[in-house]
Amino acid sequence: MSLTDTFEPDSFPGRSISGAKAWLREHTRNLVLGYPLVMLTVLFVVPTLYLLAVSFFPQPTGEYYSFGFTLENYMRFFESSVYLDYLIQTLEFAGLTAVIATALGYPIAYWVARTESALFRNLYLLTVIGSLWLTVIIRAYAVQIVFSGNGLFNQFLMGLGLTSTPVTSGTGYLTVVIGMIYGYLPFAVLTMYTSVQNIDPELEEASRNLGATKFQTIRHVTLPLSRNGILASGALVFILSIGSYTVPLLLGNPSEWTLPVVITDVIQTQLNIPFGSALAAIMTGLVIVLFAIMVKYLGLGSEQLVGDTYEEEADG
Amino acid sequence: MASADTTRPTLPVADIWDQLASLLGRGYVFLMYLVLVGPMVIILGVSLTAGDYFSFPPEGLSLQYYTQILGSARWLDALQLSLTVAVGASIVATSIGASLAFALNRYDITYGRFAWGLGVIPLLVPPVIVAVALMSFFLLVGIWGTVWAIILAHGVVFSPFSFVLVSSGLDEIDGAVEEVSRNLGASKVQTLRHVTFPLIASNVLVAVLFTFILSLNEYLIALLVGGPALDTIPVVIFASLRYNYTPAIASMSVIYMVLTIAFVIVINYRLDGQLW
Amino acid sequence: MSHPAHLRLHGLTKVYDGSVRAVDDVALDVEEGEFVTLVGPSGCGKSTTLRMLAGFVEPTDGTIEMDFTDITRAPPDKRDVGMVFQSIALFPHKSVKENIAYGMRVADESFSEMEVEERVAEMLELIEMPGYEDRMPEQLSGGQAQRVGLARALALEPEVLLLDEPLSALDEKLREHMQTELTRIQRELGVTTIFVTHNQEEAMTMSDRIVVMNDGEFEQIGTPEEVYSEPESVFVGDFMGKSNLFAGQVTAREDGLATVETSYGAITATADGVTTGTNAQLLVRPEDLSIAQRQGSDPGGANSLTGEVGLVQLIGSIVEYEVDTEYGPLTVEVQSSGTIEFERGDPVTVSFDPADVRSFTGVDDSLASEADDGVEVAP
Repeated sequence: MSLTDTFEPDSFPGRSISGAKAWLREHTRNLVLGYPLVMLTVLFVVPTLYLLAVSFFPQPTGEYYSFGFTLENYMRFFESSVYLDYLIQTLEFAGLTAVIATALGYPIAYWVARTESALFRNLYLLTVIGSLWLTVIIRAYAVQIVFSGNGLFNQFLMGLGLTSTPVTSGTGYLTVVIGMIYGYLPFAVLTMYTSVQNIDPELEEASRNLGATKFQTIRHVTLPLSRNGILASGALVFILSIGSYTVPLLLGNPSEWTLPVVITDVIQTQLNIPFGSALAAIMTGLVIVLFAIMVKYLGLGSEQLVGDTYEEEADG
Repeated sequence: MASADTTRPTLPVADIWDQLASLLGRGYVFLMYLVLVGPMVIILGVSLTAGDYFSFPPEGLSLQYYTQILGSARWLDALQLSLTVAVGASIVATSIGASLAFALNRYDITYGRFAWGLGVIPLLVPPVIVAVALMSFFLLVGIWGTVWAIILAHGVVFSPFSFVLVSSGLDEIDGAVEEVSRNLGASKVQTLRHVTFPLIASNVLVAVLFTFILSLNEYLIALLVGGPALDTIPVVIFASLRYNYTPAIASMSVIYMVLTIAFVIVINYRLDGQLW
Repeated sequence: MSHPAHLRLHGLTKVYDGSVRAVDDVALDVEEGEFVTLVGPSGCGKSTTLRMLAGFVEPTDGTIEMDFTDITRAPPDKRDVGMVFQSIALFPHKSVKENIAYGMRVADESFSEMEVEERVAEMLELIEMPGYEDRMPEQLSGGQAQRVGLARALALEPEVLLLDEPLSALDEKLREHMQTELTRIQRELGVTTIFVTHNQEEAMTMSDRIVVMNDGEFEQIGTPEEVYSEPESVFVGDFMGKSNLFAGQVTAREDGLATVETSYGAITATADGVTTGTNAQLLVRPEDLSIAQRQGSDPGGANSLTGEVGLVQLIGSIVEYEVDTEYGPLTVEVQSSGTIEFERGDPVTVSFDPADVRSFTGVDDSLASEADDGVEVAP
C-alpha cells in the first residue's frame, strides 16, 4: 500500500504549513528513495566502474598510479599461465567447499529444524551463528593449530593407529580446504535449516504412517523437498568461497593461494594497483557469469541466497 | 498387508538400521557442534596461558596477556578505532538499507527490480573486489586512509543486511493496521511513529547488531581502505599472527567475543527476547 | 482383505511438562469394524489421543493394544494403522498415483509394478476419482485432495483407520458430501475407524459409538442416541446438542417427582438419584419444550412458564423460538410443517414434561451462574 498517495490533509482550508515542512513533505519520496540510491551509486557502482577504468591504467612509477590507457595489465594475465592457474584453483577450492560443506551441513540443518523444543532449537541456531562472530582469522588459526603436524587431529589418527605419519600439516592444500569448509559451514547450515523448516512435518508423519522408516522418509520425502534449499546452500557457499582471502593466506603456502590473495599481494607488495584492478575486474566478470548461470539453470533468485538466510534470523 | 499376515513380534520395534542411523546422526551432530564451538574454547585456553607461547592446552593459567593488552597503546587504539568504525558503519548501513526497503515497499517504482538488485549486491561481491575498487576511488577523491573511508566502506558493503531484514519486516505488516491508525485520526507521520516503526524495531535492531559485529571482524576492506596509519583490531591481529605468535592475540579475541556476546544480550534484552 | 482389528486403550495418559494432563487415564474398547468418534471442544485431548494411537506421541502411561498385541511403544512405521491428517499432507512432489502407492513402495515386501498399478486403480475407484493417476496435488481441489489422502491411507488395507478432523477445512456442502462418502467407504471396507472432530453433528451422523471428551477425560461413551438422550453429565448434555439449563436446590421429593427451586422458579423433575437439600442442575432439550398460545394469565400445571416470543429462526425443517420469560430466555424447537406459528412479540406459554428433565447432581457452581442467564448453548 502507498501511504503517500492518500488524500492530502494539507490542502484543507485553514491549515498552513511552514515552508520547510512543506518542502519536506512534497519531496519525501525523493528523499527516502534518493538517499540510499545515491549512497549505493556513489559508494559502490561508481567505484566498481572506476575499478574497470583503473585496470587500463599503465603501471605506476612512484605514485600509486597515473592516468592513461593500456592493455598491458590484461595481457599480463594471459602471458604466463600463473594467474590462470590461480583462477582455476580458486574455482576448485570454491567447488569443493560448496559440495562438502553442503553435504556435511544438511544433517545438522535437519537435526536442528526437527528439534522439538523451541529453546534448544534457538540455542543450536545461536551457536551456529555465534561461531560466525569469531573473526575468521582466529577460526583459521584454530584450524591451523588443530591440523598441524603434531596437532590434535594427527595425534588422534596416529593414536588410533590409522596412520604413522601426519596426514595434514599446518599449511597445505588439505588444510585450506578444511579451513574453508569450516568457515562456511554455518552459512550452509542456516540456508538449509530454513528450507527444512518449511517442510510440513505432517508430510514426514504421513510417510511414517504409511510404513516408511525414518531413513526412507528422509530419502523419499524430506530430501526431495529440500532440493531448493540444498541448491541455494551450495550456490551461496560457492560464491562466498570464491572471495575467500584469509583462509588460503593463513593456511596455504603460496602455491595454494587463491585469486583474492594474489590480488591483495599485487597491490600491497608490488604496489601495482592497475594490475590488481585488472585481476579484480577479471574476477568480477567471472562471478557475474557464474551468478548468471546459477540463476538461470538452478532457478535460484538471489532472494533465496540472501533473503531466506537472514530473514530467518529476524523472525526466529 | 505383509506384516499382518506373517508372524508379528509382540513388541514391534524400529528397524535396526533406523536405530543405528539415529545414533550415528546424533553423534555426528554432537561432533559438529563440538567442532564449531571448539575454537572458542581453544582460544580461551590459549589466552590464559602463563607460558610464552601459543599452545593448547595452556601451560599454567594467568591473566598476563590480558593485562598486557590493556596496557598496550597499540591494542587499545585499535580497539577504539574498531568500535568507532563499527558504530559508524551500523548507522550508515542501517540508514541505507532501511530507507531503500521503505522506498521499495511504499512507493511504486518503475525500475524497482533494479533498485532491489542494487540493494542486495554489495554482499555478494567478493570483499577483495570491493576493497580494491574503494581503495582506488577513495584515492581519487582524497579520503583514502581516513576513518570515514572505512566507515563508509563498511556501511555500504553491509547495507544489504538491513535492506533484506527491514524489507521482510515491512512485508509482514498487515496493511490494515496502518489504515486503522489513519482512520482513528493519526497523520502519516504519527502512524509511522506509533505503529510502523515499533513493528519493525526488532528487524532494525538485528540489522544493527549484524552490521556491528561484521564490521568489528572485517579485515580486508579495513586494511586496504584504511591504509598503513589506521589499524583496526583484525588488522593488528593479522599482523601479529604473521610476525609474532604472542598469546595476546588470543586474549584480544576473547575480549572481542565477550564484547560481541554482551552486545547481543543487551539487544536481546531490549527486544524482550524477541530476537530469535 | 486383511481383517479389521480390535482396539483397546487402557489407562492411557499423556502428561506434558510434568503437570499438564492432556490425556488422563482413558480407556476404550473398540470392536472390529466399528466407527468410533472422539468428539470434544478444542484442547480436550482428542488429537493427542489419536496421535498416540498413530505412534507420533509417546504415552506417559497406559497401553494400546491392537488385536491384543501391545503396540504402545511401537514406532509409527510398524503399526498397521492408516491415518488421514487434518492438513491432508499429500506429498507435493509426487503424483496422485505415487502418493497412493507410497506405502507399497517403502514396504518391506516388494510389490510388482503391476500389483501397484492395480491397487492404485482400485483405490481411485473407491474414492470415485478414476483416471487421476498422473495429477499433481496442487492441481486438486480441497475435496479431491481429501479423498486422495483417504485412498493413500487405505491402500495398504490397514487394520485401523484414524482420521484427524479431516473435514474441518471443507465448506458445508462438501463436508456433508464427504461425510456420506466416508461412511459409505467405511461400511464397504469394514475397517475399524477412529474419527476425531469437534463438531457434534458430524459425530452424531457418522458414528456407531461416540466418545465425548473433555479436559483429557472420556466423559461418556455410548451410541449417538445414548449420548444425546441420556447424557451422564451436564457437559455431555450441553455439548452434544442444544439445551436449556437450570440450576438450583432440591426442595422436595414426593411420588417419584422432585421439586427444584431454580432461578426460573420451581421445576419438577423425576426423582431418580436426587436428594433433598442438595444442589442440582437440570437440562431440557429444546425439542422437549412445547409452545402454545397463552390462555389467560395463569400458567397451568407443573413446568409451565409464560413469556413473549423473541427471536424466531427457521433451520431446515425446524423452527426455533427464543422465548423471553420473566426469569430469562428459553429455547424451543418445533418441527415445522412449512408455516411458522408464532412471531415476535406473541404471548405464549412454554411447558415440559418432568420426564424430559435430566438432572445432574454434585456439579460445580460455575454452571449455576450460567443458568441464571438462561444459558442455551449451541455446541
